[in-house]
Amino acid sequence: MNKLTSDHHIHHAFDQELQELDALVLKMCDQVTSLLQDAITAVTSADQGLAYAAVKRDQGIDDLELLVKERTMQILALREPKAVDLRWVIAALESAANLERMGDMAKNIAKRVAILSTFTPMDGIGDITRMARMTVDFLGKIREAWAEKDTALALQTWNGDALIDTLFDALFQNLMVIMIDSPHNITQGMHLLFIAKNLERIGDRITNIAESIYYLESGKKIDSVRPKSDGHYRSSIPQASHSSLAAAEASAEPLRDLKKE
Amino acid sequence: MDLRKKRRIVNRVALSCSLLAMVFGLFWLAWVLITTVKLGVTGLSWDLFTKMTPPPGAGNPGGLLNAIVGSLLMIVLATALGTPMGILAGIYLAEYGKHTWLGQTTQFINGILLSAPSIIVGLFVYSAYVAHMGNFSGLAGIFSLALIVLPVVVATTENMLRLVPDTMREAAYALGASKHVAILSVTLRASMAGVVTGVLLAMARIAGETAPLLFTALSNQFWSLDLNQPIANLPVTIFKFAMSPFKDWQEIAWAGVFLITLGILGVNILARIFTNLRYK
Amino acid sequence: MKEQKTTLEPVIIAKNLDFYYGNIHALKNINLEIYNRHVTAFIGPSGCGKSTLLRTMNRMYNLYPEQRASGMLLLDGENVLESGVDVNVLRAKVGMVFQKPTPFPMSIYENIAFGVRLHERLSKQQMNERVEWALLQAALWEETKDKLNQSGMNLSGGQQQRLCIARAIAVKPKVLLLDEPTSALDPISTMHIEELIAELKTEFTIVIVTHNMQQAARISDYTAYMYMGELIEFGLTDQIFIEPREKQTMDYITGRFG
Repeated sequence: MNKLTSDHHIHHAFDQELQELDALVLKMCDQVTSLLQDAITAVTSADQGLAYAAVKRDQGIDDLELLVKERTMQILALREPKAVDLRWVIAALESAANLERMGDMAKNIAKRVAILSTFTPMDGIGDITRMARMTVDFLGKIREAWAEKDTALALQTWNGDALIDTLFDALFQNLMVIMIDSPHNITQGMHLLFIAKNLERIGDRITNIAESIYYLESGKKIDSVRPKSDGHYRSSIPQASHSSLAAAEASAEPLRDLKKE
Repeated sequence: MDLRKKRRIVNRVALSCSLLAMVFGLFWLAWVLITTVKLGVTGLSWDLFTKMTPPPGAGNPGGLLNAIVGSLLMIVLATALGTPMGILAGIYLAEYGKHTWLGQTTQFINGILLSAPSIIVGLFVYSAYVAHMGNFSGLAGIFSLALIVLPVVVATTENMLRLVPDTMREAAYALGASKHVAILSVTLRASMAGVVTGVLLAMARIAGETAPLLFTALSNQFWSLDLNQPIANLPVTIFKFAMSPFKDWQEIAWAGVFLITLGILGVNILARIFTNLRYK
Repeated sequence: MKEQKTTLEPVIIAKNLDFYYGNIHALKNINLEIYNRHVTAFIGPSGCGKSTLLRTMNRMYNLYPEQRASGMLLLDGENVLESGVDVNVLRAKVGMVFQKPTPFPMSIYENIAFGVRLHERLSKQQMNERVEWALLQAALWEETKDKLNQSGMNLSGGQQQRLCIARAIAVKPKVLLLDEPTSALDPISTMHIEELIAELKTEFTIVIVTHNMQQAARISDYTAYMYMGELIEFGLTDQIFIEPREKQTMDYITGRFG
C-alpha cells in the first residue's frame, strides 16, 4: 500500500495553480522593491523623470493584486482547498493586499520628489537613505521567506522590524531638531518626515506578510507580542539625536551579517 | 477497414443462424398450437362441461366434466400441499442453511428432483403408497403432483430470496428485528411476487402431467370426488381417448388438450403479471 | 469555531477496540469518544476501517460469523461488545441508515411502523402520531402525508433515504449511524439530507461515515481520520480542516499522496 505522504497533490494542475499564485506574489514583491528603490534614488538625486516613471509603475502592481484576487477566488471556488492549501491561498491574498499598499506608499515617496527637488537637500536625507536601504533589505528577506516558505526567516524579518522603528524614531527626533534649529527647513523636513513615515509603514506591512507566511506554514500566529516603540510621539524635545541614530545603525548590523551568511 | 468488414459479415452470419433457429422452433410450436386449436375447437361443446366421460361404445359422445373437476381438485390440493413445504424449505436454504452441510445437500438433491422425469415420481408414489394401499387413488395422484410442485417452489423461493439484497436484511436487523421477523416481514415479502410466480409455474407444469397420474390416480369413468378411489383427470383421459379407435372419443381428447393448453396459457399470463409486479 | 454546546458528554466510548475479519486485523486499538448531540464524521481512504468502526457500534458484524471485536465499546457506560448484550435492544438505541436507500416492500406508513412495533406496543392513535412525528423529523411529512398507504419503493432516491432516516428515528434511538448516506444521491437530495442531519443533531447523536470530505467539513462537529485500521487523528472539524496536527491527515484532506 502506498504511503499517504507527499508534497504533491493528486491533481497536478492544482500544484501548478498554487505555484502560479506564488509566482504572482513574488513578482509583486520584485516590482514593489524596484519601485521603492527608484523612488528613493529619485529623492536623493532629485531626479524628477525617474520619480515620474516610478509613480506610473504603481498601476502595474495594482493590476497584479487584482490578478491574485481573481486566481484566489478561482482556487477557492473550484478546488475547495483545505488545511495548508487553504492557508496558502489566504496568505497569498493577504500578502498581495499588503504589497499593493506598499506600492502606494512607495509611489507617495516618489510623488514628493517634485517638491523636494526645489530645495537644497538637508541633512536628514542621508538618514532616509539608510532607512530605505534597510527596508529594501527586509523586502528581499521577506521575498526569500515567501519563496522558500521559510518560517525562521519570516520570524527573523518580523523581529527585525523593530530596527526600522528605532531608525524612524531616531530620524524623527533628528528632523525635529533640525526644523526647530532652522525653521526655513520646515517644508522640506515635513516632506522628509512623511517619506520616513511611509518607509516605517512599509516595514509594518512587511511584518504582516511575515505573519502570513508563519501562519501558512505552521498554522499558528506569531505569539510573542512585538514591543511597540512609540517614542516619536513624545512631545518633549529630543536630545542627542545622533547617538540614538548610531545605536539604531549598530543594532541593524548583526542582521546584515546574518544575511551574508 | 478489412477487420470491420469481416466483423460485419460474422455478425450477419450469426444473426441469420439464430433467426433460423428461432424460426425452426416457432414452426413446430405453431404447428402444435394450430392443430390443437383446429381439432380442439371442433370438439368444444356445452356437453363437454356438463356430461361425464362416455362408456366405451356408447352412441352419445359424452363430456369431460368429471375429468375437469378431478384435475382441478388434484392440482389445487397438490399445490396446497407442496407450496408451504417448498417455501419453508426455500427459506431454510436461502436464509439459514446457506453454508451448512445439510443446506448444501438439500440444495443438491432438490436440483435432482427438479429435473427428475415425472414418470419416476409416479413410480415412486406407486411403490410407496399405491402398492401398500392396494388401489389407485386421488390421494396418490395428489402426492405425486405435490412431489413435482415441491422442488420447483423450493428452487424459486430460494432464488428469489437470494435476489433480495443483503442491505435490505441488514436494514431490518439494524432496526432491532430478530431473524424470523426480518425474514417473514421483509425478505419474504420482498420476494413474494417471485415466489407466487414460481408456484403458478409449478401449477402450470402439473396441469399437463400424465405419467405420474397413470400410476397413481389412474382414471375414473364416473363422477367421483372420493380421494381414496381412482379419480378422473384430463391428462389420463386424453391419453386413453386419443388412443381409442372411436372418432368421437378422439374429438373429446383434442378438446381436453385444448382446455389444458388454455389453462396453462392463463396461468402463464398470471405469472407474467406477478413478475411485472415484482419490478414495481 | 462552530457553536459549542454547554455539555460535552460522551455517549459512546471506544477503549482499546480491535476488530477482525477472520485473520485480518481491521481495527487497531481504537480509542475514541462520541459526544452527545453532536455530529461525528469518520473519514479516510477505502478500507481504512471507518465503516467497520461504525458497524461495531450496533454490532452489525454479528450477522457474519467470521467477524469479531475485542476491547471495550461503552454505550451509556455498558460494554456493548459483551456476549450477554441483547443486540436487538442495542439496535433500538443505536439506529443505522445505509449507503443505498432500503425501503421495505410495504407502504410508507408500514415502513415506519415496522421498527416501532418491534420494541413498543402502541395504540393505533399513538402509532399514527409516531409515524407523523418521524416523517416530520425527517422532513418528509409534507411530501408523503397524502400517500402514506402507497409503497415506499415508489419514492425518489432522496425521499427513500429520508424515509429510511424516518424509520430509524421512529424507534427513538439515542445514536444514529449513517453509513455514506448520500453517496447514491444527487447533489440536491444530498443537500436535503445534510440539512436534515444538522436539524437532527439537536435530538440525536449522529455518527456519519463519508467519502465526501467536504461533506464531513460541512456537517460534522468532530472528525476522525482513519487510515489502515488506525485512528490517526480525532478533533474538532474546524481544526482538522484548517490545521490538522498530523502530517498524514494533512496529506489526505489536501489531496496529496506518495
